[in-house]
Amino acid sequence: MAEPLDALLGRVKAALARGFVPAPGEAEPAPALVVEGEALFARFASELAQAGGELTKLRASEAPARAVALAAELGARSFARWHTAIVEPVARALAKAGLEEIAPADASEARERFHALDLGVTCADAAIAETGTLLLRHGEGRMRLATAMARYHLAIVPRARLVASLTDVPRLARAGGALPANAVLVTGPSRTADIEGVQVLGMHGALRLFVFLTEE
Amino acid sequence: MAEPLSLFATCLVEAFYPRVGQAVVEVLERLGHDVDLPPEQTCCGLPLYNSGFHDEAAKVAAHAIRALAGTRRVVVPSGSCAWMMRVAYPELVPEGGRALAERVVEFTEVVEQANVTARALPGASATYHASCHLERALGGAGRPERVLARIEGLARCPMQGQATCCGFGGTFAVRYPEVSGALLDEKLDHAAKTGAEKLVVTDPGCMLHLDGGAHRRGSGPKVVHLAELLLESGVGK
Amino acid sequence: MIQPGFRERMRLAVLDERLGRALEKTTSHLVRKRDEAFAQLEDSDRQRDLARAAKLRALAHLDENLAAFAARCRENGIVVHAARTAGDAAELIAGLAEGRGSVIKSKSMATEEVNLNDLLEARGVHVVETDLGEWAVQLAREKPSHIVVPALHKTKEQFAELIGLKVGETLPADPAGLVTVARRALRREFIAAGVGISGVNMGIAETGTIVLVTNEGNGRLVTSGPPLHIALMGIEKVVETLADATQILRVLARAGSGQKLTTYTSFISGPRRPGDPDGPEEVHLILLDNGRTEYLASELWESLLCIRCGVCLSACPVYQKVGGHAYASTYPGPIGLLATHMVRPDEKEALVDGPHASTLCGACLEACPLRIDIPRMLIALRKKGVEEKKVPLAERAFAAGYAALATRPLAWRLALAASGKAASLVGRDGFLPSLPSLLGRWTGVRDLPAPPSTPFRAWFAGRHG
Repeated sequence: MAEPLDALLGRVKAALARGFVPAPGEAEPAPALVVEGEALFARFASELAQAGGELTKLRASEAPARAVALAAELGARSFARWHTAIVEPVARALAKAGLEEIAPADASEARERFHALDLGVTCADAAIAETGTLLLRHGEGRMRLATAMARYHLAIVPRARLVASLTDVPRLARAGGALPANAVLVTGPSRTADIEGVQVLGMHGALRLFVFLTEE
Repeated sequence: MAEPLSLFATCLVEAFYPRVGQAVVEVLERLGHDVDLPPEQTCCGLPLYNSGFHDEAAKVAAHAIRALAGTRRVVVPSGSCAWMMRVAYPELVPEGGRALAERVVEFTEVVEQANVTARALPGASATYHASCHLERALGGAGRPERVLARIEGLARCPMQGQATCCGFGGTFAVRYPEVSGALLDEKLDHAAKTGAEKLVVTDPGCMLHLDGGAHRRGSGPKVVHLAELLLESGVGK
Repeated sequence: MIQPGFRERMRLAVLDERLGRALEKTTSHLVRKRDEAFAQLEDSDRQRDLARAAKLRALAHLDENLAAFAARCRENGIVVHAARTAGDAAELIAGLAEGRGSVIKSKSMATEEVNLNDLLEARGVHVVETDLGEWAVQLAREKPSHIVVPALHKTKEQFAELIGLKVGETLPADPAGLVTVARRALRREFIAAGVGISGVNMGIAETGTIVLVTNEGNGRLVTSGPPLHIALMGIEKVVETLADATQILRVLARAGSGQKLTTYTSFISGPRRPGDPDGPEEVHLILLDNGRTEYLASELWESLLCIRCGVCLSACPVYQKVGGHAYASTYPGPIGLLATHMVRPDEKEALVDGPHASTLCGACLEACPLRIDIPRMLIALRKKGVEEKKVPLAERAFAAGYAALATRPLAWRLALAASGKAASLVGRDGFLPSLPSLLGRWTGVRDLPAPPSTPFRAWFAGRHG
C-alpha cells in the first residue's frame, strides 16, 4: 500500500549519492519575449488567430452590446458568468436581451445545469502575446465550470492586461501573493485530432473562443 | 605534399568491398597524401560495443590502438568506425584511446579540407543517402553533400527521406530482419524514384545493406561509395 | 496462448499495410509540425538548453525537491501519499476511489503503467476514459499505441463502430459528427462521476502545484467537477519553480504536437478553498517510484528527464514501421524501451530484446526537445544484458570468438582469405546465394556480396611493393 514519504525520500537520497546525476549549473533566467505598443497587440492578434481564437478590439463601453450581438449570432440561449466588475455590465445586457443566466448554488448543481450551457462569460487576468494565451485565475465568484463546460467562451480583457512573454506567467499567476486553488492557461478553443489526424474543435471545452480586448 | 596518412580500411571493406578501399587510396594519393596500411589492423570493434560486449570491445580497441600506433593521422572511410574510435575508444581504453581518437579523421573530412576539383562523367547523376553515424553522431551533417557539390556537372537528385536510417543498424539487420527489410525497401524505393544513376553512400555498413538490397531487386541506382564517385570524376586538387 | 516474442510482433506489424499507412501519415505530420514549431521559436537551442537545465536541477536535488513539493502540497490541502511499486499505487488509488461512485479519467501514462483500470474494474468501479483516443482504446479493450495520439492505429470507421456500439446507434464515420456524439456521451459520465483521476505533467515544488496539459479540456472537467480528485505522479515529474515549469511548457507542446502551447494548462494547488464556487473537496496525490529510484542510481538517470512529449516515437524509423502495440508496453518507441525496462527490470525481453529493437540511428536524440541521449542508454542496457548473462550462450560465444579473431592479425588475414576462397566456389556474379542459419537472416532479406578472392591488402602491397 502506501509507504512513508521518508522511506521514498531516503531511497532518492541514496540513489543520488551514487553520483550518476551530474551537478547542474546555476539557474539562468529564460529569455523574455520583448515586444511593445502596436507590435504587442499585433503579436497577440496573430497568435490568438493561429490558435483558433477570435479577437475583437473595442471600447469597454461597447462590450455589452457586442456581446448581445454575438450571443444572437450564435443562437445562445443560456449563459453563466464570473462575478467581476468587468463582466457585470455584459451580464446585465445579456440577461436583458433574454438569455437565461444559470447561476448554480453549488458545484454539483453546476454540473447538472451546465450540461447544455451555451455561453460562458469571464474576464481574464492576463493575455499573453507570445502564444495568444489567456490566464484565468479561479476563486470566489470565478467559476471553473463556467468555461470548462460552455459551448462558447467569451473572455473580456482590458488592453492593460496584455503582456508579451510567457516568462510573465509566474508573476501574474501569483498576483495577490499565492496561486489560487486553480488557474488555467487557455490557448484557443478545445480541439482533438484523435480520429485520423482530422482537427475537430469543441471536444470537451469550448467550440469557439472569443476575446474582447477592451480599451477605455 | 599533403600530410601522410595511415589508412584504417575497416573490416567490411576488407571482407566485402575492396574496391572501396582501392578508391579511397587512389583518391587520397591524387590529393597528394602518402598513404600507408598498418598491417596489424583488423576491426574497430563496433559490432561488439553496440551489442554490449564491452570487455571484448575493449580488447579489440586495445589491439587497434597498438596496430595504429604512430604519428600519422588515421583516415577511416566510415562514419561508424570513426565514431567508434573517436567516442567509444577513450571510454574503453582511457590512455591510448584518447590519443588515437585525436588522430582519427573520417574520409570526407580529408576530402573537404583539400578543396578538391572534379568533373563528373557526361550524364552522371547521383542521389545521396546520409549515414546516421556520420551526419548525426559524428557531427558531420552536410559535409558529404558539400563534397558532392564540388563535382562539376554531376546531376544531383535529392531523395525523399535522405536522412532516414537505411535500416542496417549493425546486428539489427539480422536480429529484426523484417523491420530492417522494410526500411531497406523504403530507402531503395525513394532512391529509384529519383531516377538517378548512382546511390552514393559514405558508410560500408549502409553500403552492404543497400547494395545487397539493390542487387536482390535487380533494378534502381547502383550503390557506390563517395570515394568511387570521386575517383570516376577525376578528382584532383 | 503463448505471447509472440518481440521479433514476431515486429514481423507481424510490418506486414500490416493499413497500420503502416496510418503510421506514415501521422508520424511524418508530427515530425514536420515539431520542426516547424522549433524553427519558429526564437533562440530555440537556448530555450531547449534551459528546459533541460530546469529538469536537471530538479533531478539533481530530487530528495530536497520532493520533500519541498510534498510539504507545499500538504500546506495547500492536498493529501500526499507515496507508493513504491505499481501494485501499491493501484491498490492505494482503488482504496481511495472505492465506494465514491464512478470514475472519470484524463489521459495518464502513469495510471496505464500501474494497470489501474483493470484493478478498478475488478473492484466493481465504473471507470471511463475521457480523452477521445483513450476512450476509443478503452472501448476496444486495447492499450494506447502512441503517447500523444493513443488511437493512431484506428480508422474513423473503427471509431464510428466503437462509439456507435457504446451509445446504441449506427454512426457515420465522420470525425466532426463523432466528436459531437462523444462529447454528449462523455458529458453524462462527467456529470455523474464521483471521482476524477488524472496524471501529472509537472509537480511544482515552489508552490505545491500540479500542472496538467490537454487539448480537449477533459483535464479541466476531470479535476474540477467530481468531489474527489486523485492524481498519480512519477517522482521524476517534479520541477523546482513556476518559472521552470513555464520554460518546460515553452518546448513541450512544440515538440509533441507542433503547437505553441496545448489548449489548456491547469495549475492545481489544492482542493477548493472557502468561498470557491467549484472544485473538488478533496485532492489526493500519489508519488510513484516503481523503478525510478533505481534508474536515478544508474547511468540510465538521463531517461528521467523525459517530459513525455512523444516526438521520439514519431521520429523513430523503427516505430514508424511497427507502431506502438509491437512494443507490448505502456511506453513504446525509443524512450519506451528505457521506461519499459525501468518498470519491468526482471523481464528478459525488456532487458535484451527491447534495447536491440533499435538501429541506434539517433533520430530520437535529434528530435528530443531536451536532447536526451537515448542511443547511449540503449547501449548501456545491452551491456547490462551481457553482464547479467541474459544474452544467449551462442551469442556470447560468438562475441568471444570474434574478439579472439580480431586481436590476432594473422588469424584475421587467414579468415579473410578463407572466406574469399569459399565465396569463389559458391558465389555468382560477385554475390553469394542464400545462406543458412545466422547468415540466412541476412540473405532472407537482401543479397550478400561475395568476399573477394584477391584481398585488399594484396592489391595495396602490389601497388606499393
